[in-house]
Order: sequence, then structure tokens, then C-alpha cells
Amino acid sequence: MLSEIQSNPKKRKLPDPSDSSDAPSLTSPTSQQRFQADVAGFVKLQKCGTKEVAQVTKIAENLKQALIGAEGLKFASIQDANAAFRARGVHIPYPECGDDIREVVVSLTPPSRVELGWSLRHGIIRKSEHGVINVDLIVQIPSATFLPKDYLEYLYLRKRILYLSYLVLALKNANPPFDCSYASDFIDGDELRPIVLVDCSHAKCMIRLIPAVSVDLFPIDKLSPTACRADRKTGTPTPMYNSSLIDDAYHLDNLDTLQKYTTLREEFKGALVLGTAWLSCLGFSAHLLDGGFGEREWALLQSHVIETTVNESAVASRYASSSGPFQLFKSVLNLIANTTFPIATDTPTLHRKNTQHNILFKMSRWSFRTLKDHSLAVISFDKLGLSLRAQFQRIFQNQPYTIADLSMSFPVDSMHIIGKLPTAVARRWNIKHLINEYYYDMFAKGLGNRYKTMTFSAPKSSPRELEGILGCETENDGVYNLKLFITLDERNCARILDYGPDVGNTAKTADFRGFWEGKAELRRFKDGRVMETVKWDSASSPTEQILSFLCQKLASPFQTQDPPTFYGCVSDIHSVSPPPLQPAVDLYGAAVSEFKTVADTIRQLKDFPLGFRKISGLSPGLSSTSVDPPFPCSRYLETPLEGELELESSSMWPVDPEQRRRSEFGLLLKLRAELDATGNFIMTHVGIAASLGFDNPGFFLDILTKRQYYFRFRLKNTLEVVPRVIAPALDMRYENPAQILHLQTSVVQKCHQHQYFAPSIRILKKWFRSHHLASFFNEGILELFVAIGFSPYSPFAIPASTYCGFRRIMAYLSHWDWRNMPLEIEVLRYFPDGERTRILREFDAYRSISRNNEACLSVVVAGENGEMAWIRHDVPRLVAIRMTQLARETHTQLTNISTPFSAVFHPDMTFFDFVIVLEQEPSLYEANRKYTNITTRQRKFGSLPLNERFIAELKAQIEEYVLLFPSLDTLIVGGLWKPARELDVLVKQPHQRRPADSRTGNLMYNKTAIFGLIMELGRGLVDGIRVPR
Amino acid sequence: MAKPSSLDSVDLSAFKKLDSATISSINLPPSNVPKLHKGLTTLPVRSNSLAALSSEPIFHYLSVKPHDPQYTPIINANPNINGRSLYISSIPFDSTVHHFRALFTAIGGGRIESVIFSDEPLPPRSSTADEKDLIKNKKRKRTHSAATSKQTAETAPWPSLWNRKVHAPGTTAVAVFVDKAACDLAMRAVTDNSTDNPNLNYFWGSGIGKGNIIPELGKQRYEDHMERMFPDPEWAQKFVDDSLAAYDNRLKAEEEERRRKANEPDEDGFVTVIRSSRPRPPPSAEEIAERLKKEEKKAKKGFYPDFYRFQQRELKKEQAKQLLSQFEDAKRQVRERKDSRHKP
Repeated sequence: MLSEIQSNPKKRKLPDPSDSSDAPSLTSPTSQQRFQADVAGFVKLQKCGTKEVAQVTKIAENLKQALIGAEGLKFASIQDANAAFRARGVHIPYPECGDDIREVVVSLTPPSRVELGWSLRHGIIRKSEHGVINVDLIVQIPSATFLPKDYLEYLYLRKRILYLSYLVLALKNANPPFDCSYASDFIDGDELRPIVLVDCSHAKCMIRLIPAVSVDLFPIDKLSPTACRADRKTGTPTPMYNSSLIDDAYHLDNLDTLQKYTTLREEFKGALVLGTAWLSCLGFSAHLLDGGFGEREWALLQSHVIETTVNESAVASRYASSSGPFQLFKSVLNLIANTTFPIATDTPTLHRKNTQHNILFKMSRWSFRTLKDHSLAVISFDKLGLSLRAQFQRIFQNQPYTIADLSMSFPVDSMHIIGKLPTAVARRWNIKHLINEYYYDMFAKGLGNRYKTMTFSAPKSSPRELEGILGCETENDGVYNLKLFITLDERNCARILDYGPDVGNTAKTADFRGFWEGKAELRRFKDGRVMETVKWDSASSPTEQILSFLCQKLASPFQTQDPPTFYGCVSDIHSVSPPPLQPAVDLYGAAVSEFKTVADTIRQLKDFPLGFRKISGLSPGLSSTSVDPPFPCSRYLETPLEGELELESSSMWPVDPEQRRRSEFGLLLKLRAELDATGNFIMTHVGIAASLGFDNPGFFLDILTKRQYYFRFRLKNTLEVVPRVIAPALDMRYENPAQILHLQTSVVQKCHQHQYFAPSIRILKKWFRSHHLASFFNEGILELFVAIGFSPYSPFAIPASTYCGFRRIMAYLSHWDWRNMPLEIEVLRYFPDGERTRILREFDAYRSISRNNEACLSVVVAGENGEMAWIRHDVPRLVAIRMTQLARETHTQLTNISTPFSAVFHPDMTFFDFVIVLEQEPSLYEANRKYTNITTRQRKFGSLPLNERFIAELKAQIEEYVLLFPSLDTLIVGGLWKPARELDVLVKQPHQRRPADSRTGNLMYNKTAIFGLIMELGRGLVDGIRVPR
Repeated sequence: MAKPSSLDSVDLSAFKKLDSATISSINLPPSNVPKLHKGLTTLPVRSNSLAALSSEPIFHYLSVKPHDPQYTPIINANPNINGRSLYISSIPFDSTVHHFRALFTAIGGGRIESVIFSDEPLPPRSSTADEKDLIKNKKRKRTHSAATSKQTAETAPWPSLWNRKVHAPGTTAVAVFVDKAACDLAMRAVTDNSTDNPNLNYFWGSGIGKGNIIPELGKQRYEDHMERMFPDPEWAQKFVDDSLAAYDNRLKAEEEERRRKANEPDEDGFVTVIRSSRPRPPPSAEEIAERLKKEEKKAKKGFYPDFYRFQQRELKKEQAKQLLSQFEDAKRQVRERKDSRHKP
């Protein structure tokens, strides 16, 4: 064919640009261009403005000049120097001052080099939350200030402090004086290395004066992590001390390196902004207590990636060779994901090329594991086949980072815990950091493979003013609250049995028993093995039990400390949704089993004229997603469990719809008669239910089983499946409701494989009901809301607790702008870029034709075979706004873990204009409990069905004027007056509203008439109407 | 263990019971309502549903005007109400014909014959005297009534699920008076008792005769509704059986009629060909098996001229021969024509 075309030029076709995949589009930008624009836009949003940067640079330059021009000072000893600085109002607290100080002459001269921080040089300063710009000024201490052996026994650090005092004094004496205040802090929370903060509040900037030394000042090779260079009497290695010295030595060297690569690689700055934004989302910072990994460390890793890529085929070369900030960002993540602990030190280690500088020396074991886990999650997007743009959007756009499955807070007595720290650790500095490490080791050992990541959050010390503090040493926070955020492994976290060593292994057995104390017990298994085990109570979460046990163990023997506080734990969930008489699982299981028995009985009927294709349960109680588990009840007193009967097709159905309806009624009567004849049920009854219009009655078959389960079956009406127009603007595109239902069911079924999906649905439903919103949403849409939190195409792990699932849904709902975008459910597959563009186009087209007074919540579901379904749910705009508002409040409350979990379920009734209170009848179960000699009237119907009918009728009567928000048990109904519109007043119902007042022009409902209607219609049911005080 | 009710968990401390002070602050007295609005006269009636909470009179406002005869559906159904009916909008949800009778009796209006509510189906048009005269063929008339009675049996109404129907919002009513004078009197009474009358004292629902029993609203009504949802099984079975039997009979009768017509030529001598409207039932397994057998037999009898390769070759040869002969014929014809052209 090709040769034919070539031989005959007339047959040769011109290449069609639309056919060619790599042909550039003339009108619309390509996906790659859009992606680059997205990244550039994001980076731009994160950076400070040029004016602000210029202002800060000017201040920093002035400070630099003042420091360079400082006068030299000389003191006979360190003590003299301290005293002199104190006398001049400069005192940087340091606990080692006064200890073992030798009489050496201290000579302080102006710095040999002062450099602006790397970020200031290139103008890449990220916006901070508080609007204050933080920049660095690195000051190199002249080497002559130190003696060759000053790296031993804190001598370097003492002189470093004196030099800082000298710098502050120089700034204070500068002419003209600076309009700044000075405070002392520690560099990244490292108590070994104080720094000075220059607070220029008028310019909204904070400049850190960071002392540094020359690389060749001390022998770096003698400062390996395993060496003991301070407190040599103890002989304990001082890795943190040694690394701090190395870090000070490499400050300026790192600065030069970063400057070099910023100039060489264009994408360097953008990647750094992406990296810092990502770290910030995860809660990481350079502070020791925040994980010890911040902007500087990220920048050093970037330079490391580039260094290693140029000459070697390292792991990161896969990305680093390609250009673009996002690719470089991913290459750093890849590097982190492939970095492992060296066995010797058991600390995160990654040396800069050809240096002794460990970039990760500040990182804890817990923070490194967490960072690595997150990096792996992002890297795994490649395996899923997501495009770069899709990856970028998932990581940075509209993705709330709510990841902890379990949050807890517990008091820590640092003085007490210090005594328990291993002896191989120097226990003088950074106590909280060490305690975090210790707790991590203990918890990691206790939890085993139940957890994925742990994040500790301890209170940080605040900067101190330099003036007026005499004799005050470092803060000693005796008791503080430590917060812990844990991501659990979904598959292992619910395991109730922990296996220990075989009984024959004496050493390990002793260790196991020492750790678990009285909890450990010997257990013989079926295969004959005898092992040490720990068994946890199945009624509660094993993870919570383990953490409680370990906290108690660590706090002993001082039992005065408060027990740990868990947020969103199982008991919290139960406090919101009270547990039933039996464990919930049993009740759900019992109802399902009873339903199956009924379904089997129906299938086995022989004399029924048609076969049953399918008998399915519709009630959420039969899929473990109802707020309250189903339990046996008496007839009519509770809501029945709904089921659906699908009959085999037949051509004998009458064509006339009315006759078909009568035939269905007849079939149900026949079925009832057949079931009655079996004698398996207490009661079978066929009922008629009519909508308010009375036109199309529906029929149902009620069955009360011998175990008092009350089921209601309806026939599936295949005639109801009528194609529905979804968007006339889109060439009259139709959607098949059967396909929508199929996709929706598939998504929910897929999610049900996660054990915390059903509880998350229950708690979300409970939330909607608590806030009186449930009547506006159906079961299906709520399940889809939950499904979005269980998508495998997100950078977060699948929720491993109900609390996490609920929190994530709240995060999504609070960020969801339903006016401008649909909710994308990517459970079965993800939406490629092209499809997402099409989704937005279709959404815009539909939005343009939708009504104004109703909000359309659009959910788009991706099907496995490339199909896609739109699910539109119309709710009053006021309700949709209320949902978003409440979700935001709830999300804020859940983020602040000091708020009790149950608080987010307390409805704010002040939102309503009035409240209808219905009569509360004595509960079915406690009617005769209190007064046994009183015979209560035998009720035929429960109050719930009566109230439901009343509210439905009331809604129909006053829906034009009032929005009604019934509660879960229909006992309280909130009411909101709808905003009056002139059109309605003039055309529809002049009687209910006062016509436009000629004097004021205001419109007003005849509210008393509406209140009268409520009282009249609900006579005997309504207890009263409440109005705001 | 009992479930805690929402009354226990909800904080209503910011609310108070609906009291007389609140009612008076939101009340809409007649003095604030115009007498005429969009051509309708406002007729206030007092409501006592909140009487227990406040002594202040609470009004509901009806809007009344003479009925516009242009409204064809009602006029078509009730051709004789022209000039003796009033159109009433914004009627209370619990209105009945008894309420309106009592209302107009109380305010000095005329006597009401009937009330037509907009949310109720209109009755079939009754034939007038002229129309009756037109029907001369008594036999035809009898046939028609028989068909009507059959239809009634087949489409017997479902049992009512409510003992008392409440009107949907926006429902209007047409009050039909006994004569034009009564209607005029009623309209005058409405005008006299509008919002500018300070002595408005009629309570909605008062003055209904004791013989007119109107079921109570509220809880009892809902309980009664729940009872009605479950009809007696025997009655239900009979209802369905009768209905479906009537339907089947009608279908059979229609089918017979069609067949009869198919055999009888009309006045012009044509026979109407009518296809069955009902779909054919799906073939049974036996029918399918029989059809398959027939097809198989047919297949056996069949001849396949190109089954073997030699047959295919022969076919091709024959086709080539045919083409060649056609070509030779064509050549010959061309030659002959040329020859004939050259001849003088």
C-alpha cells in the first residue's frame, strides 16, 4: 500500500494533524505546555514578591556592612568575656557556661566573610503563613578565634556563643542604629548551636545570624558519628555534637554549591519551591522536632542529585537527566526513597559527594521513615501510568493532606524519661528529640507491622530576648504533652494476636517477656508449636490498647500522669453512634443472614407463575452501612429493611400501564399467599403506598420473620428505566440509568474490600443526620462521597481507621467547589488528561442550563472499561452551602485535635429560624421498665412512620416558603424561611405572603398562617414550635 | 439499652416556645393587607389553630373574584355554571365544600351548590338536553352504556389511602352557587367583609352542620392512613381478579370484533386487514426444535455448486468463456458497424 502511494503521487494523502499523535496543535496548547504552565503558576504563587525581597535584601546588606565594620575585642578568659557582654546587655543563655572553663585568651575580630542566605541571593523566598519573611545571614568566624583542639569538650560552642554576643554588640553599637530587636534561638531547634534572630518588624522580616567556620578549621575525619568528642569521661559517642560541628564547617561551602547549581540548572529554583511546598504540606521542617528536613536539606539533595547524575549513572539519573522542575522534584523523591540506613549508625545518612557532611544528620528515624513512605507513594504514580500533569495535580492541587489514622496525645515527664534512655546516648542536649526517638523505638517495637509511619509533635521552645535575662539557662520543660500521629497498615492494624519467639529461644523469650511484662503468655498452637504471644481485646482497637499499655509502662512508676488521649478512637466513634446491645458486626450479619433465608424461601416457591431473577437487599442495614445496625422489631414500629424482587421477563405482561400495575399487585398477593402457606413467617401482608399525588400507587410485601425481622419487598419495575436527558447543550446526549447504577455499584463494591469503608459511610451518614441534612441526600450519593477517600490514585494510603476516613471526606467536602467542578471518583480507574478536560467542558455546559435556586452536586465516576457516568444530585442551594460550611468547620475541628471528636456532631440549632418539636412517645424498649405496675397502651404503629408521613406532607405544603431539616428520629425539625422573591408573590400565592408594602417595599410571609398550618396538620404529633429568643 | 433521642442531644437553649409576643410581632393583621390585589378581593377568615398560644386574632386571607368563563376545562365539564360561580384562590389546605358553605352562610352570601377544586379530577361532561335529542338510535345508546360499565369494572379505582385529603399548595376553587343572584350576593358579602371591615370575626370551619362529618386532621389521620395501607387480602384478591378478568374479557371481545370485521366486507365490498396489536409470544422450545429440523432438512436438500475446488475452477472457466464470448460478440458488432459505415 505504501509503495503504491509512493509510486503514484496523486494518491498520496496530506498528513492529517488530528491523526498524528505528535503533531503540534495549532489552536489549543498541548498537554505538556499546560503542565508546564501549571507548574510555573504554582511556583509563582508560592514565592514572595520582588519588592518584598528587595526590601529584605537591603536590610540584610546593611547588617552585613555593620558586621564587617565591627571593632575587635580581646578578653583574658571566657568568663571575662561573658561578664563583659552581660554588662553591656547581651546575654545568650547556654547551660555549659561556667563549667570547666579554662583560662584562655579570647580574641574576637570582625568576621572574615559574611554572606546573604542562598534564598536571598536568588530571590526565591517562599511565602510564610504569618507573612514574616525568614532569611539567613551567614557569618564566618575567623579561624584565629579558635585553637586546634577546640572541637573537644564544647570549647568551640562556647567561643561560638561569645562570637554571637560580639556580633549582637556590634549591631547594637552600629551607627546609625538599626530599628531591630534581637533574640536568641537555636538553629533548627539544635540546642548545641544558638543563633541570633534580628527581628525587623517594620519590614516584616526575621534575619537569622548563623555563625560558620572554615572547612579546614578542624579535622573533619575525627568527627565521625561514632566518636566521643564531648563528655569524654563517659565515653559515649556524640554523633549530634560531631555532626553539628561539621555542619557549621560546611555552611558556606554548601552556599557556594547551591549558588553554582542555581546558575547552572534553570529548573533548580522551581524544584526547590515544589519540594518545600510538599514538605510543608506534610508538616516537615528543618527543626529537629519537625523531622529535621527542611528547605536547606532539600536544596542540598537537589544539588546532590545533579552532582551524581553528571558523572555517574546513579539512581536519580532517571529524572535528573530530563529538564523541568517537577522532574527534578521527583528525582529527589526517588533519591529519598532509595536511601537506607547504614547498619553501623542506625541513623539516616547521606553524605554530600566527596565530603563528610551528612545532609540528613538532623533527621530522626521516625521522620526519615515517614518521608520515605511519602516519597514512595509519589514515585508509585509512575507505575500507575499517570501523566506528569495528573501527578502534579494530585500532589499539589486540591489535595488535602489528612493522613493520620490515629492521633494521640500523652504527657511526658522529661526528667523521668531521661533516666530510661539507653546509656549509649548522650543525654544532655536536645532532650525532646531524644525522647521522641526513644518513644519511636518503643512504639515501633510494640506495634510491629501494624503501623506505616509515625509523626511526633512536641512543643518547641520560643526565641528569647537577649536583654534582661541574667542567669537564665535553657528551658527545662519538665512535663509537656507529646502528640503522635500514626498511619496504620490497613491489613494488619486489627490483628489481635502478637506472636513472639518460640519457647525454646531463651534469650528472645526473656526479651519478649521483659517488654510485654504481664501481657505475654505462652500459647500452644495446633501444629504443636509453643510460642510467646500477646492477645488483645477484640472489642477495642488493638493499636490503641498497645499504645495505652506502652504509655503506661513508660510512665511507671509515676502513676500520677494522665492516661493518653486518643482522637477518633473506637470509643469516640461509639460515643457518637452508640454501640448496640451486641457487637455491631453480629447484628449486621444476623440481618443479612435472615434476609438470605427469606430470599431462599421465596426462590423455592413452586407454584409461583414467574421465576425470580434476582432478590437483592436495598436497605443500608443489609450492606453494613446504616447508622444504627438493624435489630429485631415489632411490626410497623420501626422502619422495615427494604428488598427488591426482580422477576424473569415475560411477554405476557399487559401493555396498559394501569393493568400492568394491577398485575403486579396480583403477583404480590399470590406471593403472599404462597409464603403464608409455608408457615415460616409470623406475618405477611401486601400493602399499598401512594405518593402524595395518589396517581401511581406502589405495592409492597411485608414479611415479619419468626426472629422478628421486618422486611419489605417491592417488585423491580423495569419500565421505570427511562433514558434521561442530562445536557441538551451537548447534542442531546443521553445517559443510561442502568449504566450509572452499575458503575455506582461497582465503585461501592470495590471500596467495600477495605474494612474501614462501611464504618466511614456510617459515620458520614451520622454527621449528615446530626446536622439535619440527611433528608436532602440519598444513600448512593453519600457512599460516593466516601468512595473518593478510598481512591488508589491519590498520594495517600487507604484510610486504616474510621476517624481517618471521615476526616479525609470532610477535607474533600470542605475543599470541593461544587459550583465550578464535579467530584471525580477514580476508584476503578483514573481519568486521563483528555478525559478530565472533557469532563470540565461537559460540566460547564450542564451548569449553564441548570436552575439558579438549586445547586447541582455533580459526581463523575470512571468505569473500568473506559466508560464514564455523571451522577447529578440536586439540592437546594442553601443546603449545599450549609454542607460546605459545616464540612469546613468540622475539618478545622478535627485538625485541632484538642477538640473532642463528638463535638463535630453537635448540631448548631441557631442556624434555623424556628424549630418544630414533635411529641416524644415512650421508647418501645423502656415503656414498662420504670413503672412495672402501669400498663401502657398497646401501640399499633411507632411514632417514626407517623412522623415521617407528617413531615413529608408538611414539606409538600410549605416547601415554597420554608426549608425543613428533620432530625434522625424526626423528633426535631429545623425550619428556615426561604428568601422571598417578588415573582412568586405576584403570580403564585398572594395569600400566604403579604403583598409588597407600598411604604417599605419589603415582602413578608404570613408566618402565623404557616405556623397555624403546622399545628393543624400535626395535631397530636407536634409538641410545639420554638422560635429564637 | 434505649437510643438517646435527638431531644436529649440537641441544645435548644437559644429558643423559646412560640408565645403571644412572638405571634404578635409576626402577625399579619387585615389592616396591612390591601382589599384588592390583582383584581381579587381579599377575604380574611380567622384561624384558631394558634388560639391556645395567643389571644390575638390570626387571619388567613382568601382571594375571591367572579369566575372567569374563559376558563374552558371547568366550563366544558360544567357548562351550566356560567355567571353563578366565584373563583377563590389561596384556599386553606383543609378546605372542603362544607367549609365554604359555612363561610358564605356566615358572611351573608348565597347558597353554594358545589365546589370544584383545581387539584381534583373534573367529572365527565354530562350530556345536555340538546345532545340527548340528537341520540335517536336507542340501541346504539344502550351499547355505549354497556361499554362504559365494562370500563368501570376494569378500571375500578384503587382504595383511598386517606380518610381526608388535604389540598396541595396553590390549589384554587370554584364555588358554584345555586343561581346568579346567590352568586352576586356572595360577591357582595365578600366585598363587605374584606380587610377594611373592622368586625371580622368568622372562624374558619365554624358553623359546619353536625351532619357533615369531617375526619380529624393530625395523628388520627395518619394512623388511619397506616391502616388503609394494608387492605384486607380477600378484598384485594377479589379486586385484582375482577379487574384482570374484565381486562381479559375486553381484550377477547376486541379480538373477536377484529376477526369478525376481517371476514365481513364493508359497504364498498372491501375487507379490512387488521394485524394483531399484541406481540407474539416467544417461541417455545418445541417450536424452535421443529424449526431447526426443517432448516436442517432444507440444508440437506440443497446443492452447493462451488463446494469442491474443481467445481470452483469449472465455474471460473465458464465465467471466462462467457466473458470471452461477450467480448467476441462486441468485437463483431463493432466490425459490422464499421463495415456498414464504409459502404456507399
